[in-house]
Amino acid sequence: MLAVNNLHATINDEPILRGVSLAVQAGEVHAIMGPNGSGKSTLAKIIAGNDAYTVTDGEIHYQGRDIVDDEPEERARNGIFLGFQYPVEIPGVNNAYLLKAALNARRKQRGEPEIDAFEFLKLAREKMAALGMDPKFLNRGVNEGFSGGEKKRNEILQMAMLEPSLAVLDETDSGLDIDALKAVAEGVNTLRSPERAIVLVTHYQRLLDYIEPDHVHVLSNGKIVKSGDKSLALELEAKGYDWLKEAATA
Amino acid sequence: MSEALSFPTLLSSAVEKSPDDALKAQRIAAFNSLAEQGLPTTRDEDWKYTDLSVLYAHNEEWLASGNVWQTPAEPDLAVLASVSDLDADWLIVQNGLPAPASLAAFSRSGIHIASLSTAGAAETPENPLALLNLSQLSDGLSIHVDQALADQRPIGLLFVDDATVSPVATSRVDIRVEPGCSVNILEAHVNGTAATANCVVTVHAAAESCVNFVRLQDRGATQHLNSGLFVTPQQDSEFNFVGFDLGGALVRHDICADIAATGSKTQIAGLYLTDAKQHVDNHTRVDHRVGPAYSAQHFKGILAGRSRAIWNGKAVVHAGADGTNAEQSNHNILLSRRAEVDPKPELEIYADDVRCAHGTTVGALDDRALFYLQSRGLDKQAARALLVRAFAQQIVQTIPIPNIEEAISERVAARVDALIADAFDD
Repeated sequence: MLAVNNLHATINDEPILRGVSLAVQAGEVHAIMGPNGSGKSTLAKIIAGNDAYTVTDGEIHYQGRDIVDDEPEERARNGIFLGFQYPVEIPGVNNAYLLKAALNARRKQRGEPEIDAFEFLKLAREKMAALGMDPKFLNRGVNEGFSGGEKKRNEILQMAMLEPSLAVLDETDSGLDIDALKAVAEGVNTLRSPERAIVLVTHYQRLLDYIEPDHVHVLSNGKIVKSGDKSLALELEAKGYDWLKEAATA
Repeated sequence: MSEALSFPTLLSSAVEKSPDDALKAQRIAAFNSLAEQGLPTTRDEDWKYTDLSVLYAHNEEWLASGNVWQTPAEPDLAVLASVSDLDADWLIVQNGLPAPASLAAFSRSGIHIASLSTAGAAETPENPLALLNLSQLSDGLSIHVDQALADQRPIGLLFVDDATVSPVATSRVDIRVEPGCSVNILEAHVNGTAATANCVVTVHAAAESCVNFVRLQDRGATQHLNSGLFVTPQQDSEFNFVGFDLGGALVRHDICADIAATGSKTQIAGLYLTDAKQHVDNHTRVDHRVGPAYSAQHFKGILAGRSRAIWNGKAVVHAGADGTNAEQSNHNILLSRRAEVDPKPELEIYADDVRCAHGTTVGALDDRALFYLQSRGLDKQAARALLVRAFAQQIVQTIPIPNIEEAISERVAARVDALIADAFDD
């Protein structure tokens, strides 16, 4: 599904990623953990195509093809979804409008007809109910005046509607209370399937109590310094990140 | 300077020959005040960005023609097609003159209409262009409202002009709303052929009254407009204004509220969408003479091509006007490197207990928002268009009059799309 090979990236000539390699198969859930500033959010954004970063070396293969030069919208239409750490407020753009436009862009790519208005509303209401979201959010500006938890639920709603092949969730758990965390985790778990891969970028182990990963990687100073199964997350929780930072610089 | 020399002489002799009606003494008084202060030039701070010499030349040509004092002609009703999307009861002002047939056809309970040539004009502020307007005004409209009509269809003021009649259209409308009463006004300037229009509107909002006012300016690409809107809000009254500038070559608006009674709420908002070599200048001024009272001046602009816009927003809090709350903002998106905007918020505060806030920005689109939309599958151009439309939509959403928002929203969206198309050609 996703193969990142020796990825190097910079922002304003400042190196952030220094040779990341990662292989994610369909059906798997991977967690990428690491201290602040380790480059884990950068990795998520680069997979989605954010052009604020420059890829200086390495490749990102998605479904067998290098996508480094693809525009973000091409990646999205081909089934990559980025759940934002800080979802952007866009006053004046209706939430329903964006959801529908996003869904139709994806359907068009698959050669499917546009969704009709009734079908769309039915689907959106159904997904919102499952996430415990009030349907009135559909008619508000995108993330406008949403609380932190509402913004994250809105990200999961978009993901649920778009049914991506690869979902990269950037710190989806940050700033959530326990109820919101459970709702978000349930939304992610619903999406787990043999055709789909999920990459969770997170600072804390807490989210992994609710979404059990198949693999855990630790990113430090722009490199993956350790990989393991879910027990690695528990070990990090107990020991912190410092022992790995030392290992990375040694 | 040289072309301005004959202006006062021509205007003076025109005023002397003016019809012997209810306006005559006011025309003479206005001319005398104007003669004392002179016509503004770019050397005057309030006019430094907007050179009116072209407008004066048109005006002088008109005065020289000796054809200043006109009687109203029957309107060409075909012009109503240009505003058929806007739900209003229209009064047609043609070449500056209220069209008799449209006046005769207008019948609404609680709304009384008279001509200024019989009723006389309301008090005129010492604004030079308003004084020029009155000096050479043949006739105008007086609108008197004595019922609560805020939930009803707006009075439409449709300004049209025809260069074959005169190169300058001078028009005036005085609106007076009785205590506790309310009205919706929709002023529209559509594509005509006259070079210049000078339009003055005064609004007297009596105690506890409410006036909702929307102006749609969509003049032709070579046409000029100079407008003045002067509001005197009384105790606990409400004035809600939103202006849209879509067209015109050289456009200057003065929007002034003079608050001399407590408890009023004055909201002035505007959106200008410019391209090519358009020049749109919005000057707003709110005088808080007493407090508490609230005022807001919120303007947004989207500029393409080599267009230029000015927003000069002034709030003057006079001594003793404690409890004043005045807000100002001006945000702009430049779609072209050659477009220019001059935002100028001004606060003059001579009282102690006041709350004043202002903020201005000039910039390109937010990259984070652009990436967010792209990451949801929208292509870059569509995402850009969506963000620019959304920016404009925030002013459209403040329209205080029922049933016209959708039509104006569509006009704004069409104009925004044209600007974006131009921006990509750049």
